[in-house]
Amino acid sequence: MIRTLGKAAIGFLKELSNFFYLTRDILYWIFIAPLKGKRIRTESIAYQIVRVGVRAIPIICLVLFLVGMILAVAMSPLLVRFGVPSLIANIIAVSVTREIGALLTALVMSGFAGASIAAEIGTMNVSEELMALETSALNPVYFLVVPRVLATAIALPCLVIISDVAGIVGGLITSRLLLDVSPSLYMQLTYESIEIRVLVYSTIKSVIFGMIIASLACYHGIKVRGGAEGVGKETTSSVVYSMIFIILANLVFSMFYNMYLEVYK
Amino acid sequence: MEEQKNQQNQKEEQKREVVISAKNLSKIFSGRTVLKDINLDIYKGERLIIIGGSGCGKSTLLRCLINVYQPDCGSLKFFGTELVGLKDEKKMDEVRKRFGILFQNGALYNSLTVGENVALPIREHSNLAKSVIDIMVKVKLELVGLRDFGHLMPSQISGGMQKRVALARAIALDPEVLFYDEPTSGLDPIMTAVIDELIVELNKKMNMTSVVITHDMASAYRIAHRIVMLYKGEVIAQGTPEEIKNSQDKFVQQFTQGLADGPIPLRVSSKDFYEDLLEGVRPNEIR
Ligand SMILES: Nc1ncnc2c1ncn2[C@@H]1O[C@H](COP(=O)(O)OP(=O)(O)OP(=O)(O)O)[C@@H](O)[C@H]1O
Ligand SMILES: [Mg+2]
Repeated sequence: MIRTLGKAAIGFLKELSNFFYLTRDILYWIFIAPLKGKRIRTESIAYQIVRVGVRAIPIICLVLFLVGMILAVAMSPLLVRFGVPSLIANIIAVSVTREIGALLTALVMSGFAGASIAAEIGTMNVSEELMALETSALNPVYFLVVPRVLATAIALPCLVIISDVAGIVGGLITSRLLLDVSPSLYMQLTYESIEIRVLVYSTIKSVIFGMIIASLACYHGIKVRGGAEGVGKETTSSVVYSMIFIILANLVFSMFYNMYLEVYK
Repeated sequence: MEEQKNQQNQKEEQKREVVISAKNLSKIFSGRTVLKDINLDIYKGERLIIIGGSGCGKSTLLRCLINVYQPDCGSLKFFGTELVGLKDEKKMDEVRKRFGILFQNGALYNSLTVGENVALPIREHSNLAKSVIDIMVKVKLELVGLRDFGHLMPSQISGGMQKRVALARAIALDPEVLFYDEPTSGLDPIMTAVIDELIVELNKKMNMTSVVITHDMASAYRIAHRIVMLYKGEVIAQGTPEEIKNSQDKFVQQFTQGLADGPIPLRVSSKDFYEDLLEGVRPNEIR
């Protein structure tokens, strides 16, 4: 019993240190290598942004639009009872721009982009493409991992802005139908309750989320052993771990926000 | 007369520069010894053939020689640089640029076209203009008879063609040492002869040291300066093609002549087999 626990602990520490090494390599190739004259692979990044980012726009719009509606439906009885139906605009604007937009976008993206990156790199691993890259003195981290990490880190904040809009529109339509709040009033209140501070906070947060998603996906792809089954297994782990890490990171971020940025204390 | 010749040969060998020198190389995969105490010197400009049965550790040896697998013990020198335990990635990359590898399964980049596969190493390791690179790619593809296929994706060409593309990619940078893992398996006899000829030609014209793994004895005799035979992860014989052909060793004979009967147990002895089959079956269960 103790032995199995010990083994599990050692395995976990090993994974952690492997992931740490990968992260260190990624940071080296992003921040230090360009200073040494190593070109950033812009065309590769652009290609990945289209692949992981642009194609995710419809699904993310749909999800956030529906979540905006759900929020409005759930809050409306309470707001009617307190006689402040128009407060719906403030509630949705604040909750979506501060937390829900970024969180849900990141969770959807860990399935959408994370799984696809993990499966892609895992398959390349199984067909020995990674080995071929390495033996031609082409670093797989520089070639494959960094473009994907940067692309996801750039795409995610943009997606979050789009998702915020979708969520607010969802709330607007529902409150027009259920609470009879006029769209112009709704937009007026939304405009008043969105703060630059919150947008900056949510953007920084989503950059970090993007990096978590892509680097975990690449890590699991590189880790694949043993054929198609291994690819499937690691793809699943990649999604599971990135969801867990995103939620934990979000918790830390929102506590940080309350401590240092919240004005209504 | 014979003896004199032999001595001369030996002297020549001593003079030649050693490119790769492996000493006591061993590799263990989860408790199973796959390579055991391999001692092998590869000389500049020679064509070395490695033969041996399926699963005897040829590919593993190759991967150890190119430092993809870290051997569990022993030393490996490449032009005098010790590679075992080498942490400096830059130095390693310098070494890597000096050799080319044809992997057993091709290992083409599936997201790139055939032409881009060949162009990638050239593009990344040189500052040549695109038009020059295009010409180089065409030349390399022509060498393997695939000039017209540059625009196709790897998934759109046959297995044998993929292998030839992989060869074109391996020679893209005109490496000093070229490793071939079964370059002709899966090719038709004519293409096999063409590739064999290409291997010899590359070696002669560019003095490329060639290490070729193969099952095909006809190819081996055609290409080899020297043949090394592996059996269960150990070197059991080495010598010139003549020496191997006339070897009295039962293992070597069985392999080179392709005999089903011999000391290499291909069909497991029947007693083992039945014991294995019936393992865990209680006698009263058998009716
Ligand atoms: N990554 C690995 N993990 C565990 N065992 C391995 C690994 N790679 C190879 N082996 C084992 O090592 C042995 C030798 O494999 P290797 O691929 O070197 O054989 P080979 O001589 O190239 O055979 P073939 O001619 O069929 O290609 C096999 O028994 C295989 O099971
Ligand atoms: Mg092999």
